[in-house]
Amino acid sequence: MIFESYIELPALVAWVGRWHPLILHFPIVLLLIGIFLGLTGKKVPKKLLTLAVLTALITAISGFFLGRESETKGNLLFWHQWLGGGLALFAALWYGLEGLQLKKPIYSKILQIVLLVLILFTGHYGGMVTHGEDFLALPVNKKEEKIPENPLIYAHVVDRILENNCVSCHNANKQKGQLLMTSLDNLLKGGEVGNTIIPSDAENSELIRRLHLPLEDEEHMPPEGKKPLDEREIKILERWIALGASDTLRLNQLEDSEPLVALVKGLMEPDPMEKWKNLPKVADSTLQNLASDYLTINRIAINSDALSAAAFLPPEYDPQYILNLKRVAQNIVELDLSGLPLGPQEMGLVAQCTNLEWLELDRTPITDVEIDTLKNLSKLRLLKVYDTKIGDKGVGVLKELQSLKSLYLWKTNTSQNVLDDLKSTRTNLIVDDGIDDEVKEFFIKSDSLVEEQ
Amino acid sequence: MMEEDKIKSENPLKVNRRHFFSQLSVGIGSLALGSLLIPDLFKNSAGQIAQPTLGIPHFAPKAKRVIYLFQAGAPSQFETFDYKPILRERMGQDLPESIRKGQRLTNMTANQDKFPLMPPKVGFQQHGESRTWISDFFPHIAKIADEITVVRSMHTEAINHDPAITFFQTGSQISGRPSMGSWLSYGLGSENKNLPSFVVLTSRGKGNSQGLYSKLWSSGFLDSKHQGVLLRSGKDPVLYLNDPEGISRSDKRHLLDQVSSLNKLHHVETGDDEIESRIAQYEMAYRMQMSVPDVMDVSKEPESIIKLYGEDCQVPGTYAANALQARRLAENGVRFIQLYHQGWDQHGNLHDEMEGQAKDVDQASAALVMDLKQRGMLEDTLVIWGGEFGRGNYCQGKFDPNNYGRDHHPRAFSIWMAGGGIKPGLNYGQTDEFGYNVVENPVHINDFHATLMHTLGLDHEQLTYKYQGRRFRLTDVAGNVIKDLLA
Amino acid sequence: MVMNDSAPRDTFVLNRGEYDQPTDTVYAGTPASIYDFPDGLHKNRLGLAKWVTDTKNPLTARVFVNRIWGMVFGRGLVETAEDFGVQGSLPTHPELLDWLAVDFMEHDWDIKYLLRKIMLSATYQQSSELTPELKIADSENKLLARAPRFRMSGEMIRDYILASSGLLNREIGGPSVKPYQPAGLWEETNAGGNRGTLTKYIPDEGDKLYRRSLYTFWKRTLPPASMTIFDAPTRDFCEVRRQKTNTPLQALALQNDVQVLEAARVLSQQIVAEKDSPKDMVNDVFKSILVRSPSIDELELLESYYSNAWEEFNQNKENAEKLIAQGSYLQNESDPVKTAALMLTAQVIYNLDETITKE
Repeated sequence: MIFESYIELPALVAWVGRWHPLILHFPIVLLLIGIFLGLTGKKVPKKLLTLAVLTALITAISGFFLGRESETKGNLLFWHQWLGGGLALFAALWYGLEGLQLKKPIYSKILQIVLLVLILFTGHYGGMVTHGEDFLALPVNKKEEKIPENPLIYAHVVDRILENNCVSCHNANKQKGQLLMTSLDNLLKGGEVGNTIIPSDAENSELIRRLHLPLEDEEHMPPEGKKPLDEREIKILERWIALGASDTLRLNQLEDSEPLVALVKGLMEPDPMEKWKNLPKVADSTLQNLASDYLTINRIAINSDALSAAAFLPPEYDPQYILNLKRVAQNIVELDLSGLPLGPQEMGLVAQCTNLEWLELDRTPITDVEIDTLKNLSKLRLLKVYDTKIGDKGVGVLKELQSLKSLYLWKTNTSQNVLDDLKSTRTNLIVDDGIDDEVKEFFIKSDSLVEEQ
Repeated sequence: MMEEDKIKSENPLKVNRRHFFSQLSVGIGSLALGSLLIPDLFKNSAGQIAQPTLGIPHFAPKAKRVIYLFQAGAPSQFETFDYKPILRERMGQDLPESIRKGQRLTNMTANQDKFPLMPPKVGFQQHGESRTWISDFFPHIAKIADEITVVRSMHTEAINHDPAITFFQTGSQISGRPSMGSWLSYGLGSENKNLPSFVVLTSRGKGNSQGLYSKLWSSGFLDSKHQGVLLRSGKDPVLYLNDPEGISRSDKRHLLDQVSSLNKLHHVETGDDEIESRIAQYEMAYRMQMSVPDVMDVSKEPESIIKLYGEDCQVPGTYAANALQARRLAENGVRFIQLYHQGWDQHGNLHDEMEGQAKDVDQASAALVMDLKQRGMLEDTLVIWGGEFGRGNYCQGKFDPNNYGRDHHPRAFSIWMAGGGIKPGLNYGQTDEFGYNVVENPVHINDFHATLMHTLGLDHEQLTYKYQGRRFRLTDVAGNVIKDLLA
Repeated sequence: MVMNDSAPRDTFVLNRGEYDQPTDTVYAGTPASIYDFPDGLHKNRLGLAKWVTDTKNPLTARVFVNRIWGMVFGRGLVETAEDFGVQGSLPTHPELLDWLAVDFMEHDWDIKYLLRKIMLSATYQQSSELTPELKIADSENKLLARAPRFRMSGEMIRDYILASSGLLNREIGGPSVKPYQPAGLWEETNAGGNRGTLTKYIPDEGDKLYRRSLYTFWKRTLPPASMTIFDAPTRDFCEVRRQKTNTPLQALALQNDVQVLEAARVLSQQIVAEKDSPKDMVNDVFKSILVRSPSIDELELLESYYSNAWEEFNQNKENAEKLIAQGSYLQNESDPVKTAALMLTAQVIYNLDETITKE
């Protein structure tokens, strides 16, 4: 079925065309050697030249056949074909010239320079045809634009997915399968198979059907070798089509229960690694020096300078091994000091870790006084202070930590009304103050293990 | 070309070695050509070639450790989490062949010509806001319905215990591969250097049991320092941990100092650095002699915690004691804590045996999850509860509603998970109305492994070990991360 | 029945490994790339044996001498002793490997001869001292300018301890034996109830406790812990080269395994009965275990350790008696304080890196 469009071309011819990308390397190399010899005043061996010209012709012919396969010729292909044809022609001319044994070598030198220019341009256009227009452009940092706060689903999300995954083959120059994916109108128009997208009918939309085919399938898009779309990208396209494929739809017009909301928000969410990008650099040797039998310190992930540290209680406690962390205080985002006999010195260190997101201080002797040192930890997301002596005053400090999402307060001296107040004023903060009494009661009463005995 | 394809599809094995290689050479040629044309063919999906370093996650992890409550012997999904009312309606009727589809059976039921459907004797209720179906065998787990995610669409390929457990623990039915815990120890290193990073605790219920094998916690071809350490309930929790009678702690210190100074003398003489590392290992052993009993000592636990796990948690060697132990080990930075509770192999006398087994594990499992939660540990500890496969929806042997059993069933079974970056209160995957086949969101063991590794910040395709000429992974050549399960 | 080759059963390629889906029939054969199977041989096990040991077979003798070399030197001439294929490493001394292989075949595949040949070589008899120059020139010792140092296998360590204390039972052959093993290991992991002889571990008594480790009973699902701690393979898969790890569990096993403690006790009792002065006793223990005389420094250290231990036990005789109760081997009437102090001294030596290392 996929070959339908080639039917007017004899299969063998099409097959010959397919060899073009392989053969083309021979004339390039052979001609370059010949030109090099010629320009440096050496004699160009006859056999070399013969072979070079022969392969140049074969390449041009096979290229012509290959070109026949694509119906719509973009500018790139057009220029590549003409330059390639010219190249073959000039190569043949050179061959003829050598045969004439002209006395003035200047002609053949001019010819050689022309050939050199032709090779460069033909190759350049050829490269752009196969790899995309910007393939040979200098590497520019493709910094993706941030998706705006309330994005247009088509312009800011869908178009971006298509741009990243599809447009390199479905653009004005290449237009594989006669499909242009650069605008919504073109998408609605479809390609040779038609119905690329059917608004409100994702299931029958050719685009979605092909995305879901197994990777091995000939018709799967993007084709073999290109990076397939990830699940989220596919689902976003699917939902957008299902919702009518509109180009005016905005995120805030969707209901919260609509799956598209979570999908798009997920796409907008910054990569967790991104926020740690600007932390100071830490050398592996520094980490090795800090680590000891009772202190584990590691990068959160490979290539990240964010650190996670956990201290354990040595037989003889001396806070120095914790205080040493001062060197990397800015880098520590997770710190576990639970169960240690912490004093003001250690808490001083904690206060210096201003990028802390996760802090465990449970089962330590800290009180409201020490909690005060946490008030500058503006990025703190999780705090464990259960089984400590902190009370209502401490909770008052914690209440001001705006980033805090989880707080563990079980077995502390906090009073119920302060906790209730905290829960009601900070609705996005999860406060855990132990197992629900009713549940606990149930567990004690129905101790299934006792019954058995 | 069509011809050849036809021949191949009729007999895919009609390829001899020469033929294979001749095809391969075309393959290699076109591969090289392909990479010329498509520059990112050999890059990974992220578009960059990351150099994996051991001991550090590949990306920021959600979970730091795992407690795996393995129910060895395979508890029946029909008496636990997969409620199928049709079994009662059609009790005693034959399982339709349209459902069974020539399923491969163990030799325990392979000779059966009838497959009478058998409903559970135990009742089912929906619990929590998630409306999760849980059988009345598990009143305590019912209380944490909104904390757990029940996956009802697990499936495996193995139909007998040994290959099935080996598959679950090592990613291969054939033994010899490193177990999950070893892979994690290899990939993440230890959190607390004074304890092993992978420990194993075993207990046994009164139900029909299958044995356990040390290969389940073996490190396979990985360095043997990654192998699971069996923690025992007796006075020697780690083998050879206790000094012989008559040696005091200070005697031991003197002895080690002596060993170390003689070793140092020898180090100067030979110049072999291996001696230095031996000295370090002796020091570590000395520290373990203190740290391990300290972690294992539950006598410091307050009364309220004892009550929560059930009085049995004070009896060493019980599941409840191991569950409490698991929390203490997790608290002290052990990466992978593997519990095994034997006795779930109910080929007969299912109702009574399962009742007993459920009593062993129900309260302690739920207590563990709640205890972890109040300590904020559920945020970075993944708890898993489940067996190696499921059980059939039909009666094994003669139909007898009063004393029935179920044979092994690999096509669908249920497990639950909690914490560690898994969405709480989710009901994931579905089986058909008979509970025989998965009809929605299947989760294969390889997928389960990939997902588990993902929560720990590991890319299952990147954590590899080269052995016998090729790179091995826990998921070998399969596995997809089930993103829907992730919070 | 097992030995009957006359009616080989048909073997099939199974469709995707499913046992109930046989496809093509396959027949036995050997890889032609190694050496063509001679026409004159039958395609049975006798034929295979003849093919394997044919002098024209390029692999067998090389592989075998390489393994023996690996056992003696800790690393084969081809480091990947299990793999002589394209994924394996190249030999460090190819001519030597070839010569040894041919020599081995010419001497009728005589293993004893081969071992003697290797061990009488100048290369084998070098010292393992690592000079700074050698460390720079060849830190991995691939060129064998010094003797290698490597930790012995679990079996070798146990045999060594038994032999050096005089406990080793050198009897050859017979059924497997069950030496000491921490109690309860089998019971904890089996399926419960009575499952035959493998349900409970009942250690043997008397002589059988001291037989070579080769004869230790091996339960496949739970191999002897004292062996697996020292990297003995699980036997789930073929392992030609063992790992040589260095772990705290090994330290614990050497310190607290009854087998070692008993050896230290028995050795001390013998020496206490023979010698009087602490110096002689310590010297004897040292020589028995390490088969060399201690240096002045070593002797001094050990002697003062012995006297300290003696002081300690002299003040607390009860502890001395408890300590020397280790193991079921016949107790020799000897002064418990001296014995205990010397036993700890022996323990120190048994726990030295040098003791468990071949150098």
